[in-house]
Amino acid sequence: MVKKVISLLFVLCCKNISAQNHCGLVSIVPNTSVNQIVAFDDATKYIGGITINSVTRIRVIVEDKTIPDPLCSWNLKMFIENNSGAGTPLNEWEEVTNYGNGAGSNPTIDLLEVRVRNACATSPHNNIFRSFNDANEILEIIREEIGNIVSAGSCTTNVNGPGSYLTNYDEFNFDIDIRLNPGVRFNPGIYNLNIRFRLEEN
Amino acid sequence: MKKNLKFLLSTLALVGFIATSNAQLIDEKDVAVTLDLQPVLQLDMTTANQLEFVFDDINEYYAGITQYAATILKVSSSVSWDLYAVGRSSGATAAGFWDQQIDYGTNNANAIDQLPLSLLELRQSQPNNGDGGATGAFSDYSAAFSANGVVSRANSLYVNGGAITPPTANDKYIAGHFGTSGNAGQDFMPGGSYLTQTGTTSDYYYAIDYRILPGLPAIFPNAGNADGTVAQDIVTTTTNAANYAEPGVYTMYVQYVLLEDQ
Repeated sequence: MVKKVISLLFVLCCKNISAQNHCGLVSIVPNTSVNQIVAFDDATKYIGGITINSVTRIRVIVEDKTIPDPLCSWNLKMFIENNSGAGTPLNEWEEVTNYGNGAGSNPTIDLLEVRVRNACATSPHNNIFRSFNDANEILEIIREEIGNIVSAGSCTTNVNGPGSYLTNYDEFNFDIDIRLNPGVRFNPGIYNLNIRFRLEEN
Repeated sequence: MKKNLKFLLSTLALVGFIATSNAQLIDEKDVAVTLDLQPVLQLDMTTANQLEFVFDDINEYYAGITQYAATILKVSSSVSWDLYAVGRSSGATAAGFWDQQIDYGTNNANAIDQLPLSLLELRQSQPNNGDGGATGAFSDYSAAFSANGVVSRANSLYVNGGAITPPTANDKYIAGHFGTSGNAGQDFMPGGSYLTQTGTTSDYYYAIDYRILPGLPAIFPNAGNADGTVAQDIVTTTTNAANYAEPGVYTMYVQYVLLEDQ
């Protein structure tokens, strides 16, 4: 009886830690940080906003194991970080400094818009500027779909099989564009926001 | 029992091994965006370098000379703002008075060379919609110029002894007003730009008319102090009903000040 219980526990435990490695390598190239400073210093920029195309490019390499695993697939997500642990409200940019008396409100996260695009439109959110209400929202650039593998070379939505930007550039490269349109609602000052891209195997 | 314990330990060890060896492969990249919102206060002004009022006809003394829309003011601002005009001179004649460049004829004892800066009258095309907290009789320059013979100091230029200091709650602003209540319409104009306004009027666009009315004798009856409650015409200020403005050439300047409401 005891053995049966223990075996059952073992099966349950194994089920819960089933995220075993199916791929040999997942990598963003290069994965060094980018720091983009956007300055609003005249009325035209405040009115029209500023768009920066290809603020960075996410180039993906996902290699299968030496003995190919048919379950090797990946997903790519985007997170917003505003140092909320230090007290920044979830829906605001992190304040570095205020110009003047800072009597108004600090900029909210929704003034940042992000667009992802590549030639094969592999992201379900391809070529759409999307804003975020707070730092909890996640953009799934490539959806996490376990068991539904779309092979490289198919040039369709949600390609998530092994491949590389070196051989399938239009599917494994993502141009990231940002647009900022603060209007005249917020305190002048310097503010920070971090955009984190996470590539992981399914 | 001992056998069962051994089995349990081996199972846990195996589970532990699997758990450690099955970490997902992950890679990350960060893009830090630094937003630099600089305060922008932009006043675009279209005007002649010099406005000349030449009084060489008796009718012009009676009726005055008006220069319509001689100055166009266009505001763009990323912060809450106030706009005011202030009369200034070098103070060579006296602080708060026009600079006399030359006088004509002999010096008559009743010919006064101290012309108050407030004799210049302004009229703005759009009423001040940010003057809710104003306490004076005239909060802006939007009143129509008074008819000849009707004394009104509703349009006399704000002057503070020739200094650039902002008007008080009793005095005139073109837009916004004294104070920092934080309530729009009370004492400031919200950020915005004339570029995005529609319709025939805008709180970010002002056409300024100028008038000088000497009267006869030339005492400038509409000159008044900052809040328009005290007459500053030549007879009143010199307390001599026989006095009048000395013929000559005089200069002064109007300074338009756009500032953040703080």
